[in-house]
Amino acid sequence: MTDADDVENLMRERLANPFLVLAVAPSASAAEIERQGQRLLAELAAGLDGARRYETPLGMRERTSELVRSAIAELRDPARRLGHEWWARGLAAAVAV
Amino acid sequence: MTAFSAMIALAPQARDADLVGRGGGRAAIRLLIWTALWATVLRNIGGSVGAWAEGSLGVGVTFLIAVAIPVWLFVVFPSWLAFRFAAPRGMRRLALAACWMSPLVRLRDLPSIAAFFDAAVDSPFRLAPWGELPADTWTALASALQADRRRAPAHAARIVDALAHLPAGARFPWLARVHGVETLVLSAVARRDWPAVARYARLGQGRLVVLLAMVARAARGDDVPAFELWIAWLRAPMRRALLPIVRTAVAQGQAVVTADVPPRARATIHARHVAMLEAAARHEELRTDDVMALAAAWQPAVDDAALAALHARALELGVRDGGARAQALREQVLDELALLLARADGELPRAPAHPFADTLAARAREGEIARIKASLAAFDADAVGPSLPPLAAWERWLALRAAWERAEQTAGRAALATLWRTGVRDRLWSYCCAVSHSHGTRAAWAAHMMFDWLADRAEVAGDLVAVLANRENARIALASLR
Repeated sequence: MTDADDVENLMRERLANPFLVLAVAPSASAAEIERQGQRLLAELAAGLDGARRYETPLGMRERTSELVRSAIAELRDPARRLGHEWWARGLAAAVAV
Repeated sequence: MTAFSAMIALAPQARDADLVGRGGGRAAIRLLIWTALWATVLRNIGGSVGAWAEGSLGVGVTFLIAVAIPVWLFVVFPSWLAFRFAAPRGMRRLALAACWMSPLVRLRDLPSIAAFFDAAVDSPFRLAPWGELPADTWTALASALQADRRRAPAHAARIVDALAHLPAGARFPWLARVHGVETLVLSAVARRDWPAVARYARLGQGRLVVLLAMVARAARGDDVPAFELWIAWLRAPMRRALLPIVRTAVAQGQAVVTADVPPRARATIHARHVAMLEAAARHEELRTDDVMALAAAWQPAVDDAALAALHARALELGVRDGGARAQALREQVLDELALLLARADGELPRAPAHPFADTLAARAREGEIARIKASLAAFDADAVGPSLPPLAAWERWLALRAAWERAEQTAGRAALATLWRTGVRDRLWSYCCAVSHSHGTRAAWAAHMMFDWLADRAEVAGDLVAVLANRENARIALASLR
């Protein structure tokens, strides 16, 4: 794998931050995260346009049901949530700017 | 390795082949056909026009018909027919025949040009497999074109960088600069990759390359006057196809053709970090100063107080080893910054301004040295043979060259001198000699470049024996190209 692949994968990983994918605040409770995840999955299944994209500091990205499920699973693990939360605090602030 | 064993011999066939061998015979036949054909054309033009005009033409028109037009037909028209008309329409045989007729094309470049035509239409090389092709500018451009189309920008960038820094005497034919580079630039234009367009255009010449370089500058945000863009467009070929791009460049001023480029986040340190990762992934040029400025901005976010706050949050979430988790996030940021630093241009500051930058610089140095050591494994002289084509051998060297030249900006002279004497010198030297011995004149262009590079590095390391031997090897390789 080259450096270019590495940085591209890192960038994708950062922009696929579960808090950005689920559009919830980093301080959201586990219940809020689950609720928002299920709502997004239902909207995606219904084919709602608004659910198909999510906001990142580098513009809109495509949201899929796999991405949503993966985000919910990531945030169920407290250790993983800690890291995502730390990145999300900065990234979500940039989205809000 | 002794200097004697590391010297290459001048291949006797190198010079003789073009004079008296098959190559010489073919060149003589080509010259005879040129002479017969163009003499006939000239005679017919002169005879018909002379009979028609009956002495009524002035000096200017006579000069135009008798000298300027025949010279244009003889010198420029065949390459125009090959590269502007036949090759873009997939008429490969006509394009090769036109190249054969062009005095601007050397006979021995024809197989490489054929390979370039194949790469340009994205088909496998038909005239000769890779192993039988020489390493030269045309095959290097063909390889860069394939890499660009297959989304391997790092590989394409390494080839382009090597072509941009050819040693004195290395050939870069004019037609390759105009038409070869043009095809490469157009490949990047097709996906609106303006940083790649700017990088490739530095190699080239010609009206189209000049225009596209200006559009790329405008896309970067440079001030390019609309008047100059329109003049360049008027002078360039493919005006109809390029009109939308130029119109957009002019209309949007500095923000050109960026409809698919997302807005750049600058608000927070995290967002700046991700934006820089994106720039690196897009192969935009990064500057070491910018990465170090980002590192300076990161410092308060990963200092002891910030990590303590993170540790407290870990306790709230019920995470075990919260301190270690917080420390791991700091290490993650450092690794990512080191990766960005490895892609950036410019020397590291001699005295980093803060401890975080110092740690980052050390990590970047370690990474570069590790990268060189890892790439050295591929340079086994015993494995060089017919199965490793000259161009592939050259491309393998390009990876080491890129890592070494990056390390020159980060690792410091002492570390590189040690690495040179303990691992790189003998291994790479043997490899270059093996490539040269194994492929002869087909690898001469690449061998010249590799030996010249080795001599330069030996000079920096103070290795006089290696300097002298590799300069001589480079000279011999260059002589076999003539």
